[in-house]
Amino acid sequence: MSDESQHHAILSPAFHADRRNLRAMGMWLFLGSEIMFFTAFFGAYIVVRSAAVGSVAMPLDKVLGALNTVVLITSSLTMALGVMHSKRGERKETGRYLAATFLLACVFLVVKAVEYTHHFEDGVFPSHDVFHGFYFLLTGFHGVHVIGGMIALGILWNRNRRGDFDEHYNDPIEMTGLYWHFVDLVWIFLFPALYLL
Amino acid sequence: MSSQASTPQAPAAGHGAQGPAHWQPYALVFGALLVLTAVTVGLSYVDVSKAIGMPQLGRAANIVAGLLVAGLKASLVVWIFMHMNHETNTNRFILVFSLVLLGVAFTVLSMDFVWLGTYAQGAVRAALGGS
Repeated sequence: MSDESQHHAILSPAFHADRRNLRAMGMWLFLGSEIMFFTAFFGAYIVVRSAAVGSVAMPLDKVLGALNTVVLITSSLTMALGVMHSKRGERKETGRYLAATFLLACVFLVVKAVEYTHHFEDGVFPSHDVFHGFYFLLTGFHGVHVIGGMIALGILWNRNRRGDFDEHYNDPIEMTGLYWHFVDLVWIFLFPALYLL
Repeated sequence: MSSQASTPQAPAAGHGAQGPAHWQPYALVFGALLVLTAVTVGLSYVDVSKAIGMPQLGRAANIVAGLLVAGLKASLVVWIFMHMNHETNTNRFILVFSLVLLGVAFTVLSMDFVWLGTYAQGAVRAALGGS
């Protein structure tokens, strides 16, 4: 047990709960601003698709899109289990699930890179048409969010290995979990909007 | 927290998230998300408007059905994975308020097409290059 976690052990449960709830409030405010960020792009996409309803033959590979959906949903499961173990103070299991989440994020980005490579080989770039402009914009910003989450996961994995977290103090893992589930949520809407509908 | 003798059960809703102490709810949601993903992919091969006997809806029926399934998936993630079932009311309010703003934005955008109809559609088509 590190000095930091010994320090947390002597604080009252009410203190831990208050601190956790305030941190969660900060994270939810951030996620609220993230919802607005994606609302802007989704809204523009709605306008364009409404104008061209019926005339867009969805050109993307449904199989790769569905595969990436399964990958991200699975990473949400491993993240939730990591948070659960961190709240029990089980360091080894927490580390394993954080690593699994990181690896699944890598798989997601590899599949996305395969898709992008196919587009580029076919000569399809963001300027190809309005649909592909939105496709690259939305999946690109989503991919940046995945990379940001992976950086956070890497830092957390190291801090967890170092012994910064225990059953009293694990807020950073839970808050990163909220962010990670949000990234999954965005994809849950991007997948049907871009690949299927 | 589940290890403390004074709190053997998860705290009541509205007092800060602890989340399920067991993996079963997460596994259940995971399974549901996989099934709903299969449903949404399956729906894309079906003409929903004909399936429900309202062919005049056309592609809009598929879009509504797809977004309903996505909304259901999102609700499961928010409620169980993101612990909204145990979250404080302040944090619930922040999420609901964000979703209300999202709804306002999408409604105002959609009104252009519902009420202005072909005029707005023509204007956007012209802006896109007259396709």
